[in-house]
Amino acid sequence: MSRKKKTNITRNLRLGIQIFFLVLIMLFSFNHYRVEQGLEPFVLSESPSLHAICPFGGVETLYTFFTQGTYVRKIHASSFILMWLVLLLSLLFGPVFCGWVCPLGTVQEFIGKIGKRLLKKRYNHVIPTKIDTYLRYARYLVLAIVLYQTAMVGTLIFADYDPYFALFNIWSDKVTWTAFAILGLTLAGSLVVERPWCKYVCPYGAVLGIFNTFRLVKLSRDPNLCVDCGRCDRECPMNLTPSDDTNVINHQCIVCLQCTSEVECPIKDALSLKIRPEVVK
Amino acid sequence: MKNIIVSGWMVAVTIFVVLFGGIYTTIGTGHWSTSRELEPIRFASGEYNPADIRGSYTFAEIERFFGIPMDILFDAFKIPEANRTNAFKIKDMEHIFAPVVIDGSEIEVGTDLVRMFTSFYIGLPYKSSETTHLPKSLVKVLVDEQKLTGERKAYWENHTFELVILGEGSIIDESEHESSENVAIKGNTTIGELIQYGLTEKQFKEITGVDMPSNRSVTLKDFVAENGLNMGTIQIQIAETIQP
Repeated sequence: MSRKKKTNITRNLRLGIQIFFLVLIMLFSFNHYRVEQGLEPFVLSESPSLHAICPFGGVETLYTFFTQGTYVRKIHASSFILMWLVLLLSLLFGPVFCGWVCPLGTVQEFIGKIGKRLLKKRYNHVIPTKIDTYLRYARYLVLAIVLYQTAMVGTLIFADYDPYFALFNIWSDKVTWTAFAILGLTLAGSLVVERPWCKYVCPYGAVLGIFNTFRLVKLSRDPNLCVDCGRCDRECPMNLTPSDDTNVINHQCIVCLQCTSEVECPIKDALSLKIRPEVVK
Repeated sequence: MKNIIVSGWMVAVTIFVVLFGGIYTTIGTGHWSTSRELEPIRFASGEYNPADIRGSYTFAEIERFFGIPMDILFDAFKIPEANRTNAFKIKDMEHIFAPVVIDGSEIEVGTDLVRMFTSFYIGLPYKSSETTHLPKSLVKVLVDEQKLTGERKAYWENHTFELVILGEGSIIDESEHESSENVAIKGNTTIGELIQYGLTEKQFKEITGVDMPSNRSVTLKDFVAENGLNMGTIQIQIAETIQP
């Protein structure tokens, strides 16, 4: 067994990318607001609306697109294209969008760091496992309701409840009190549970999570190298237990790589993203 | 065969290549679009068509596309001083002025009036299916600017109404407006929204005489225009049906 060289390169790399997308989305949204007020955009010349750059908008408009050949109001070709690009990424790595790109996930993680300091070991372990297991499937129910309602009504009904939309439109008057309330609950919940919105509610996470079952690059544990220290289980923000199986196949994995030998696993190559031999051929 | 390990770096690079490469490629192919088509459609002769003016257009955009100075528009619609900004949108008028009911038809101070005004001002055709009367201030500006003359002037001077300001002229929050108990049936209300408000397909056909479109995202405005119906009458009948 060989000890891996301790670095945090992957963790910092992911953090850097998360901050990049967080700042980018904030700038876009702020610029969109400024342009609507008749002002010049700030720093960037582009000022797309949040709807235009949200890949979930592409999912919401799927029914309308394939049955009517049009997009739901406020959705544009950009959302549709982003949806396909993110699906391609998910086919490769799973919901890497959730773990590396989604700004709402990033904000929850940041608040979670405060929660970890406050609650220490109790953080992210406050909901009884039995209840938690069932709650994890609630996001599929949310997804079904959102898709059905959007198809029936032909407008973006989810925007009225979307904490992502509320967070990045906090300066505008377009956000409903319901969305603000859900955002408040999400942020407060992040103090006790890691990524509560992602785990229990996010309809887009539900879509991308399905890709965990057949993604091409899998999170694999080498039982010959693993020393069963359980560190991967303790470090997983989504409370998964990578130590249970050879391949981590769980619809909740966000591909943050926290459990891997690149970040927390103390044994080199014991737990890594791998293209499996049968796929390579 | 040995497993191939994929590092965090490879994940990071792939994210950037797929997302930004995809965006760059689709910009190159002309498929990428983050906004509605800004420009209104044009007549074959090349001029912009007033019929394609949308509620989301600002008065500044009307000035840009149709050459009507913003101040003329603000004066014609008696927009309060506080609202006279570059960002002022046509649909914002719905939150400043109350709809007016004349001869049983409701006239909303909004997009259709701007289309009519633009049509008269630049002398290009637009046939409205919903506007039967114009605001007095609007007719006055058209007459002063000599855009309405002869019989047309006489006709429209006899078909006017006074603009009625809601409250102080401040813009009401749209979300508040929509969440109130009385739902507003507007031109951009979709068929899907009408169903959600409780309108059945049978009621819809009784009111319009036409089958409800299967496309839930069709707006009432487009449906009415397509079927040659009177917007005001349809609006009132639908409102009465779902809010008895």
